[in-house]
Amino acid sequence: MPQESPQVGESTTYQPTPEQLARWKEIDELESGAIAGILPPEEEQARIVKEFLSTDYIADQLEKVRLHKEKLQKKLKSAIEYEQLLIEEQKKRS
Amino acid sequence: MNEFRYVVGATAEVRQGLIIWSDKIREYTNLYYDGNEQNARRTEFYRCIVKTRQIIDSLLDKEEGFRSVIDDQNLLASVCIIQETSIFINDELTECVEIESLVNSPWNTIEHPQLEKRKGAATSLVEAIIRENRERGLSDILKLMTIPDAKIFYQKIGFTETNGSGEMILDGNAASMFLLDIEQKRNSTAFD
Repeated sequence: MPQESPQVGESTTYQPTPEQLARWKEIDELESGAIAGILPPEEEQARIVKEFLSTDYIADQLEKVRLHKEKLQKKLKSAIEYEQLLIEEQKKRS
Repeated sequence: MNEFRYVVGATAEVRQGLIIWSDKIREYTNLYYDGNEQNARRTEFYRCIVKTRQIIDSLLDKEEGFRSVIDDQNLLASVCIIQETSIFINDELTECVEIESLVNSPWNTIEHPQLEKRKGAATSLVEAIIRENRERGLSDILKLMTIPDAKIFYQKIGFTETNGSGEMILDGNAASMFLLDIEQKRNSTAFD
């Protein structure tokens, strides 16, 4: 629980309770395993880890980025075409 | 108490950080597990590899959901992906922010001592997410799914289990208590 506000001239350093100290220590010790999110079954974990370690990270990411870029370029092209069509339609109507 | 810098989005710094993680995962596997990942099974480090891979797979399509903390060495210390969603609380559909995936760096996970190790990264990340949500006027409620080994950590910082499936939530009151507790820890000399 919070302590009372310090008076003028008093130190602003907070004095934790022994329970707080023990809890903070415990949280620090538990921190490393603080995973969130579902983990797949063990067999799937083994496959993921094996694949991760046997793949060149940079080359793998580069391939994925290029595929992603290609998809985005197609979407952009499609959006530009649609924009042009709408501009022309607007001109016809005005 | 270790201090961390909060980063929103999959920035160049985060992407670079994940390249370093990938190199370190290989280095530790060779150094501590004879180059055989099977020797690391069921360790926090092994689960870190799995979760890191899952997070990397989201780098291109969930980049806006990335949230991370960087330590005093400018190293990526913990990373997660968040998304706005909803949850049933007392039969009422309530908005919340879900921590979809979270993992600490390989050096914070491996049991062997590392110079890069800094405690408090995940706690600091959860703290920063709560503060960001409040600033943006988003829900105060945080939701996540966790594994049995990590449950106690989240319980200690105020999360409660909902239905035994591993789903946990941190409600507004618990979030306020957590922020106050962190502030008190920061203002004490106990962890300097």
